[in-house]
Amino acid sequence: MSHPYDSLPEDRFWRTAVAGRDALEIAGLWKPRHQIGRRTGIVTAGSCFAQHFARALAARRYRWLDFEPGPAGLTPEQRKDYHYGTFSFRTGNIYTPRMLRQWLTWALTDTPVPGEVWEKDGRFYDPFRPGVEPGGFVSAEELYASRKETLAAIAAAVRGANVFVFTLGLTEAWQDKATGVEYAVCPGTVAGRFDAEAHGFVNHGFGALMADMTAALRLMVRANRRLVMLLTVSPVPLTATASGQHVLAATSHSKSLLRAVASEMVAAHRRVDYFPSYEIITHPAYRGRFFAPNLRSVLPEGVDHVMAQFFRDQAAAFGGAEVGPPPVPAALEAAPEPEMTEPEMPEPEMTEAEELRCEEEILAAFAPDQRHD
Amino acid sequence: MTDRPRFCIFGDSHYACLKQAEMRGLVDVSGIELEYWGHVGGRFRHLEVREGAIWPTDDFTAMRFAKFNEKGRTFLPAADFDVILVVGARVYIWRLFLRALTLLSAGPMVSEGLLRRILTDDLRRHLGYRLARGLAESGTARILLAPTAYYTEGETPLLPSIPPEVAALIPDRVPGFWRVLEEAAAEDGVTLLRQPEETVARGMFSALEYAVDGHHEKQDFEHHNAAFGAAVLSRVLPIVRGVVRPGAAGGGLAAPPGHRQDDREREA
Repeated sequence: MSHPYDSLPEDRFWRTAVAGRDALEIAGLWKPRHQIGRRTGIVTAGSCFAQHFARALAARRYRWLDFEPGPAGLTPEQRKDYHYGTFSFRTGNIYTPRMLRQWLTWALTDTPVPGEVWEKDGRFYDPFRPGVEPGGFVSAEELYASRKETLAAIAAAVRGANVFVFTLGLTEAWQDKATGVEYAVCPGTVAGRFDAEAHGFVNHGFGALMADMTAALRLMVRANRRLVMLLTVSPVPLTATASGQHVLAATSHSKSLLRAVASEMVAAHRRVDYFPSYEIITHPAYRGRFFAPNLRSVLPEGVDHVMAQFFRDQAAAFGGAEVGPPPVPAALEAAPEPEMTEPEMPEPEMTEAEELRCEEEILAAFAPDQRHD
Repeated sequence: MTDRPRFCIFGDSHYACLKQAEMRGLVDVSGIELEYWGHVGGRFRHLEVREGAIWPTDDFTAMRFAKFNEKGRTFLPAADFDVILVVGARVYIWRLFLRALTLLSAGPMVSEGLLRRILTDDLRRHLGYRLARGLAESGTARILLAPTAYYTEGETPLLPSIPPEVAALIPDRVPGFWRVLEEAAAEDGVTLLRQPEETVARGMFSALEYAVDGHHEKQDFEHHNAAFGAAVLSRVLPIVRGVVRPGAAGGGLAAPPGHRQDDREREA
């Protein structure tokens, strides 16, 4: 008697798809719904892992869009420290669907952002993105002005993108008890002051996560009817948990819920897809090979393998050549002297006339008899 | 051996006006052991700082710097001086200011923190500044830095870079920029000297009376005259005279162990 399993391809069976293969040969994990090509406008946001996605796309000359590139001429270190180019807008990490919904609400509707600011040592920090300005803003007004630019960038990003890539990071968060507004981090950790009366811990359940994710999608689609969403789940374990559980158990709980939300969003919405970077990094089939010794950070080879699967599966679904790894940088020259670790300020070359003027000035002062006229 | 403060003026061609000020008697350097060590700015890329001294990286550069030095020094050890004034040295503060003003006028928004970071990073990336900082790290001499002066005022090639919206920001912003850079330099052990106030016109230009003779015909808006040199030295000489020397021991050509002025040690 035949049955449905008879006609399944081999990637539906554990023995042939996983156990019988070297981990790096496990392939075809993703059956993409939407084509993402070099001309596709891609916007990224989410937790730490999403940063790797943005960098990897940009390195392979995909059309990753940066709607808040910051002032011209910033060095890579300045951009990194001030969170320009980390995501498509300068929000810093967005860990939960609730935080995403909040940002989108503030950017795409008339709902104002709460006026709360956090202070530390006379400087001002944005409770919703406290890490973007090292050392804080000089005033609340400066903070608000900067945030206004970020909100404009979010709105432009949603309207201008073809694909919105969001990496789900956490279910745990801290909120203002009275308003329900969610902070990026617990008050008092980076700045501000923790107040047990005012601030409450939340560990979002499945229902809340789905509601927030659905609302976020609705906001985006209202602004851009052609937008599709690609979800991933961050493989990075929790740094710490306030749930009362062991952090390993808490991590499993959070990631399980987020993974379930991603699947349900895909099932419910044709314009949503899920890319399994989480599985590639964390599944026992890969034996933890992509984690650094701290068992949290993802190694570059892990990111590379994830992106290789991304492009391979796109090519398998939609044709076209597979995209290879980014070009390897040319070999560096010998390491600079320890006192010159920053790149030197490029100086304009002196023209011959300028050199001559300089010589003349020196001769006029030090050897007036030797001057040329 | 000497009880007199040992003072060196080290620079590119912008040090010439200080020499002119001395030669014309516009400043009193009596009681000071004064040397000059410099050459055109283009040769500065052939200098490096290590072990508390400035070293030319090739013989030609060494000879050029030695040419007008009273002792024929082919390298410059900080330990031989109480105060070193680094002049010009291709440190163009006004270019940093212009960049900052342009960013502020053009948008997107630049926070004060980022502006400070841009200014200080840009300062520290200047080769001439790195040389000054390297000397300061030796801890053996006080290091002052008088960066390249503002462009002379008037019709200059610089003007198109300063449209009205940028010029409008100069009075309010430039003093703050100087403070940021002074603080950064102080962290590095360098005393950054602002351009003397009386020589400044319209906030970010040098007044016409301090230009070199025939500056317009020569199209030389960067160099300045003896009066300018005197203005700079009038700020510096009190600092030099204020140095308290620990007696006569180790004066003159005293060099750090292993580094003699008349031996040119070169590392492979």
